[in-house]
Amino acid sequence: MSIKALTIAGKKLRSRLFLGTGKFSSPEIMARALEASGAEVVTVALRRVELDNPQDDILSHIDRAKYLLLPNTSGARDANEAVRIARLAREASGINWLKLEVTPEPNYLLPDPVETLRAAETLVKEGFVVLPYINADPILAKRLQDIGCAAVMPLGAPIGTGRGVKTADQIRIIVEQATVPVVVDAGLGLPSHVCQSFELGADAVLVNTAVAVAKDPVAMAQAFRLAVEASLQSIAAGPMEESEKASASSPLTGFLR
Amino acid sequence: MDRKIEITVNGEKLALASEVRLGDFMEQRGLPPSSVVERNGQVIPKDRRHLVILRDGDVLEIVRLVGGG
Repeated sequence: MSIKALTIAGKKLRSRLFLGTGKFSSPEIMARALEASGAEVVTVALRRVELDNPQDDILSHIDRAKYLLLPNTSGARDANEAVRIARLAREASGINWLKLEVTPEPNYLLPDPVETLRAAETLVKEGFVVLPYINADPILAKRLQDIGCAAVMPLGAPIGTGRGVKTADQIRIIVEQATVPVVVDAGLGLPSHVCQSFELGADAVLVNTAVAVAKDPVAMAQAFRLAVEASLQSIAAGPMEESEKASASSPLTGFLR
Repeated sequence: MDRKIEITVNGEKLALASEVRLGDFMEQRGLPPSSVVERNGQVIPKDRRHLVILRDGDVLEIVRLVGGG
């Protein structure tokens, strides 16, 4: 069964698993997890250089020929900060793809819809390929796709919680009306959450913490890769329909009486 | 170029003996070449670092890519 490639902003992607690079115990383990995950799109963040302690460069551990960097605007509390971070991230990464996130509130890191939309308007005009991280709000998703975002990234649950796809009903509506790819981002803790996302109709998923903090991140990266493959193959294979009543799997004739 | 200046880098005030080119400042401080600089709100392209002269009162943000989701 062949699985169609995902295309975002004209770029054909070989994997529908996006992997974050945060929270790994070492750059070496991160690099091995990336490899095991089969991911092509990998997210990175932008932070101040420590003047007294300039550290190792993450880019020396990511093969740019193999991976597409997706810088994020994490830490931005409003649209203006997000736009500043985006411009710096473009200069640092050399690419114009951007995971736009504006999370002013520290306890749940929920994205601010108003500031996200404002920032997206500016960044799309400046030529960025904008993938906004949003709460699973179908109206907001539509507004963002209408102004030219390249995808939408609704959350399953708050970042780093591993609670799964708590927003399933809204994600189904987002998918139903989407004209751009839908990437379920945040809150996915287990490979089964990945399967659920694809079964809801998502085009891709983004995982970070679930892999990075696993006891064996490399093995977990592979588990997520397999979940993505299993989900896509099952969708391509045409799953059965649910029914209320039982339907025998064994023949209903020739019973011993 | 021998006037003392004070600049702000990543929120920290720094006194410098004289005006200095941004590229030289970064080299002297051992900052990674992969880092990028915003000066007074404007991104300085990497290839212009050696043209920009830091002036008294300049506010710099020097950032780099790190692991993140």
